[in-house]
Amino acid sequence: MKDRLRVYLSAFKLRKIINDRGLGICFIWLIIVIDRINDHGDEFFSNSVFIGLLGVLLPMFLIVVSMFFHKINYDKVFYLLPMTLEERRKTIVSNYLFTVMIHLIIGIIPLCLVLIMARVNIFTAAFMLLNVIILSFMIIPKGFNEYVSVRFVMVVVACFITQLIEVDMFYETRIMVHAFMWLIMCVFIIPMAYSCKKKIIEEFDYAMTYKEIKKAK
Amino acid sequence: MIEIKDLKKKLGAMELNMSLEIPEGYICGLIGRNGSGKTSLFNLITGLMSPDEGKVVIDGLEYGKDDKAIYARIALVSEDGLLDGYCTAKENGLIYGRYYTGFNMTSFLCLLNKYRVNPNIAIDKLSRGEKLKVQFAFAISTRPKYLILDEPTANFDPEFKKAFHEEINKLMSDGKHTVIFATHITSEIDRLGDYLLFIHEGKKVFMGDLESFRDKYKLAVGEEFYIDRLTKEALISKDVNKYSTRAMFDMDLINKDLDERYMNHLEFSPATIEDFMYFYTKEVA
Repeated sequence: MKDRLRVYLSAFKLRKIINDRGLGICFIWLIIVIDRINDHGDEFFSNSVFIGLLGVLLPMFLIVVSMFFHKINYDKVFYLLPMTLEERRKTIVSNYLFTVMIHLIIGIIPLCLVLIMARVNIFTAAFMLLNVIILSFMIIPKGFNEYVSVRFVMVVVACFITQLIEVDMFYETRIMVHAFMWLIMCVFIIPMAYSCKKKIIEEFDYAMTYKEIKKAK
Repeated sequence: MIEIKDLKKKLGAMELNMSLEIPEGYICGLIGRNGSGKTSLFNLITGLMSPDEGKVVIDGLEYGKDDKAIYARIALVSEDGLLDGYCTAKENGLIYGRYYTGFNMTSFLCLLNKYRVNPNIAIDKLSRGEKLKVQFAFAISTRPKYLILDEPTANFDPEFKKAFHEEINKLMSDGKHTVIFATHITSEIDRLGDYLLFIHEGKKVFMGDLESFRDKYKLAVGEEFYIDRLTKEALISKDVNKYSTRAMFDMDLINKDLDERYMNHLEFSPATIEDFMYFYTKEVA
């Protein structure tokens, strides 16, 4: 566990996220915060808005940031380590699952606290938990510019937007909006997330062998 | 022993095709022109690349069946970079060193200190020479049986070169380790090497000890008239200028009975590796 945690934490390097041109994702959080301040003015620091941002959206944002640091690709040295092919696959899968576990912890614990404090109804709670669980399992395929990443981006954006709408309805019960959110979940988010499952398994297969990348000199 | 059995691999326009044995307990120098297949050969030996045909057998172990045992025996130092560039040398040691039973973190850090490399700077931020020093220190610290070095010394300062030679000699002192290193600096092979492997366009041209090499290939200097009279099959190539002609000969193919009278008019000397590379690649070109 200690070694796995060390491997997980060692991946957090700011240069990685800058080099991946994923820095833009950091501004999404700022945009949401600024938007909330504009909408709510002095009430920004009221419990409901603040709780919504810190307890729900911030953990989701941290999960997405963590994804940038933990892609399923490995350096040359990994392919020279003394392990059988089965052990290599097990290491790749267990590193991924460990990352998922961390995402679930980051996402679910604050969310549960918020849901209890806000005393939201069961359908909203279930929806928001499902959103966080789906997001926790997402990975960024090895190249952010690959076409298949569009699927991932759509799932992440859909999770964020629907979660934002649910946060806004903490103290209101708009049946039609809730129903529509569940429709989006069942018709769009879950099928898209399931289709990413095949890609995740492909990423494991791809990561099993070393691929020489010609570096520009 | 490393055995390469009927190994074939398509590499763009070229095909790597060779069979050879690298004996245990010696230092083998690998030379060849740029693009001759040296790095690809190392990638095949270390299992980073799969051959189209043939196989690599290390101490009777094969890839696909005995990967763990093979990887415990080999270590690679590569010009292309091996370790996680975003992490520091120390972090790389902590993350990857634990997979090797013989890895000693303390000795790894001591080597880095000896080589004057800061273990707390990200690998990507080090100079090219420092990156190779970190790789070399890591490789040595895993106590490999086969140490494979892909052009390691080109970026080493003279002070570190001395330390590098000492480390190699220390590793080889028990006669149970093997070092294979690719280099363009032929004097390195003369200084360190026991065996020489010369490859050209993916094919093995020569594999043997340096003594045999020097006996087999000789440089002849003299008049072109006499050089042209020697066995044609033995001539590798010649270099004509207005003062004299130099030619490289494979002495195994010389017909001494017929050629002796002409050989007496020429000055023969053992070929240096550099001369051999020059004349061989000249002939092929």
